[in-house]
Amino acid sequence: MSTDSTNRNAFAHAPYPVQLVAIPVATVFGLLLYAVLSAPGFINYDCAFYLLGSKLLLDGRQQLVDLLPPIIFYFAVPPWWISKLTSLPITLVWQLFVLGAVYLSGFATVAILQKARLSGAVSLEEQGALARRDLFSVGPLVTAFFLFQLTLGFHFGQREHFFVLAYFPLFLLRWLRWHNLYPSSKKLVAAVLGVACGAITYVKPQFLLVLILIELTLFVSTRHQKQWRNCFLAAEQIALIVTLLLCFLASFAIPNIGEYYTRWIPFLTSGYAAYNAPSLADILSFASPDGHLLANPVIAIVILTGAMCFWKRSSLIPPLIAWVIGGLLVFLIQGRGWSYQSIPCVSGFFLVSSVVIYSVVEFTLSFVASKINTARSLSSNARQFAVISFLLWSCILMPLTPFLVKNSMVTGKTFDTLDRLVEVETKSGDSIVILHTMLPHAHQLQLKKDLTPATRYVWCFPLRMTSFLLRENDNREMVKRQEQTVVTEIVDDVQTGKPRLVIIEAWVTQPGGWTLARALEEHRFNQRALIGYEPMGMVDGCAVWKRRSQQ
Amino acid sequence: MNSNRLIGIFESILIGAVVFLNGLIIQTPLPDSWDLKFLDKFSQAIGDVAFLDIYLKRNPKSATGYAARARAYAIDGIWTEVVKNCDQAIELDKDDLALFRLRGKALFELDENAKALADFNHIVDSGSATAEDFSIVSLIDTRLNRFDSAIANANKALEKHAYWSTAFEARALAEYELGEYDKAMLDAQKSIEMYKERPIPFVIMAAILNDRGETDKAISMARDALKRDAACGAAYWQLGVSQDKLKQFNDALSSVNFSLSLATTDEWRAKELGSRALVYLHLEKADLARQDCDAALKINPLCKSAIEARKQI
Repeated sequence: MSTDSTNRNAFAHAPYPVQLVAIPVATVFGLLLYAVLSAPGFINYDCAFYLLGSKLLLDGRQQLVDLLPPIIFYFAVPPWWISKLTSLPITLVWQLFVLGAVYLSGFATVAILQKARLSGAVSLEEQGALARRDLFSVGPLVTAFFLFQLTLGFHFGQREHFFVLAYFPLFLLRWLRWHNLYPSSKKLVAAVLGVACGAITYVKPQFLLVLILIELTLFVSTRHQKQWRNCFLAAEQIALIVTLLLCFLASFAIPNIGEYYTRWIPFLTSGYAAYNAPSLADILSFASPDGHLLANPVIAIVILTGAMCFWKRSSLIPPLIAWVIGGLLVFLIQGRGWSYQSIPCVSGFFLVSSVVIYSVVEFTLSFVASKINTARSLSSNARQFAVISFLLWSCILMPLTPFLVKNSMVTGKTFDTLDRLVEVETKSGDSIVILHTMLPHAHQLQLKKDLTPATRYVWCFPLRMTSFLLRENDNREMVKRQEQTVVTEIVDDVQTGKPRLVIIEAWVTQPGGWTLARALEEHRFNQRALIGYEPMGMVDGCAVWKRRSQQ
Repeated sequence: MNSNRLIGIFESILIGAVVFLNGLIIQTPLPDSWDLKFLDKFSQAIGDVAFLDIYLKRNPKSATGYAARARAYAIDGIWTEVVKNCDQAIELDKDDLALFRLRGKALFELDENAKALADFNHIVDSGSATAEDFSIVSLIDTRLNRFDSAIANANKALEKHAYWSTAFEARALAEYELGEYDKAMLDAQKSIEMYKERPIPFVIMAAILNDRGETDKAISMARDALKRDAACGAAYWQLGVSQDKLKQFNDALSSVNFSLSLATTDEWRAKELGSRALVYLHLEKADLARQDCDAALKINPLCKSAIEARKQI
């Protein structure tokens, strides 16, 4: 038997050093906790929107109008209960809630790896075994995934963030499953992961692209092992599919869900283009100033191309590249280039980069070790090899990281629009209406100042869409009716809710450009809704009205 | 403790340390780097501010950094931040006239006229004032009811640049306030010829046409102003004035209220309050009319529409 095959047999029976997963995960958890506690007032604007929606649900009010199924508002209810119980600010509770999801993802990852047959009970010569480099790539892979969480501060709690958190342990599980290294008897953790992933995928169904592409890649790369039936019928797969179906059925229990399916989905399919789609070059630059994550698309292309050279050396590379491609398709389908939409794609890229770097380290170290370590016990060398290669990988990753990914808290910025006005004119618990189409900070403002939105159109995107569709002469009669209905609903909301302030987006970005204030005024909004209100003037590009009885 | 255990502890510490360092580095941006972008100017400006926030934390004495951040905020119209950043930049570099110009413009947008005038006077005294500088000084003079000075400064702007649209607009506004309607009309038309996209010259012509009783033409001018800027409160004001003259009092009230909601400066607010007072009078709401008159005259004792309403109360 050759030295190389002796090495491989010995490594096949070497136990996997668990500290290469547990310690990095614990270290990153500590850094994340510090980051969250250092900025207790920060919350992503979309997350603020979910929380406002769930607050209205808890108050027994009608739900907010949103682009996606309103199920996310129900998921965002528990943080309010916790906030009430603990008297902690909702922003901090939400951040800790998301941090909890990160921790759960970490625990699930460790649990999967512990249950897997990573001691190498199946030798390399047998079907389904992992090569040494794959075995020891697990530590860097898991570490890289949790290090990446440190870049997601600006997007903490976005749907895409929850998706990657739910999917990563499932990805590991599926990779192990396809290589026959996960015992079929261990069903509980697998099923729980399937449920978690199914639920979050239902919230944004386009994530299915990522799952399907990775499954197909795993199937193709391991098809010679003829275990596809076991893999497709595994506990996590069944749990995921059943969860998707149950979520769909459960959505019919949501009040007014029929309106979402019959009114909003048909409208959104044509109206979504109202939000100016940047050019493909803009989107692929990954450089939107709302917390972009990718450091340099050119470097990314080089690395992904280079990763193809490792296609056969690592069984992780093919599914990870499928992850990147799936994430890129999800990013492009949404067509806006908004940074949080790139989370699946960029996370996949960072994982690919980490595995490629590790493959280079492993190759170099193996070459050196094979020249000097043949006389020593190979079991202990396997463990030492794993630790040394991990440390080398970490040291090489350090200077390269800034060229791979960026910290979204550094690259993202929202201006404190309307803060001063709201500070002076309102107090905690007041109701307010801020009608906007492009002022996401309004969600953060209402949440942080404990103001209750008095309208279901916290984000007034339908009116931007109707104006766009009317200009496009697209189905004019239907669009006009939709516009009138939306305005009437806002009028009803203001008359019922009697907000202290009504603030309406009024800026124009170019001569002759559209403005929400004017669009409302064409429907005589101020005569219908603002009779008891005094106009205060323009503040930060918004027309402001104040209820007269408050003056 | 045996050696294997010690080695295990040592390894664990090393692993934790390198991951900790990686964690710090992944959160830290590269020093002084910037990205290639293909963004629209508003998004680019937001990105510039995000970068400059980090840059200025590392370089707190950089006048260039504060100036760049002020310019970025100016693109997105966040004038209070423009003033703050210009203040810091000027403290570090008092010789840069561009900073005084930028701050003056921001203060003008914020309706802090005395401070804005001080900045522009500094530029004028240095001998480097441009046509645009004199035009803004002229507009400030009008806000301060110094109409003759406004005309003089507009003329200085035109001496610098004979076809400067803002200069004609500023002069037209002062002439309108002085009641020199023919001259004001001519200058407003010249302003439009030089640059068609500014709404205020149309508003001035609408105001003159309304004062002359030519309400249909006034409405047409107001709508032309709104084609240039759908959020031009002054255009809605003149629409309201026309509707009032046509005895469409409820529509007039709605238009003037809308114009008040879009008012960015006291200059326009006073005019609009005065016009609303007249509408209230026509709606037989004398108390409300009196309130608006008082409020308008408090802002501008020479407000024509408020004076007219006062006479009728």
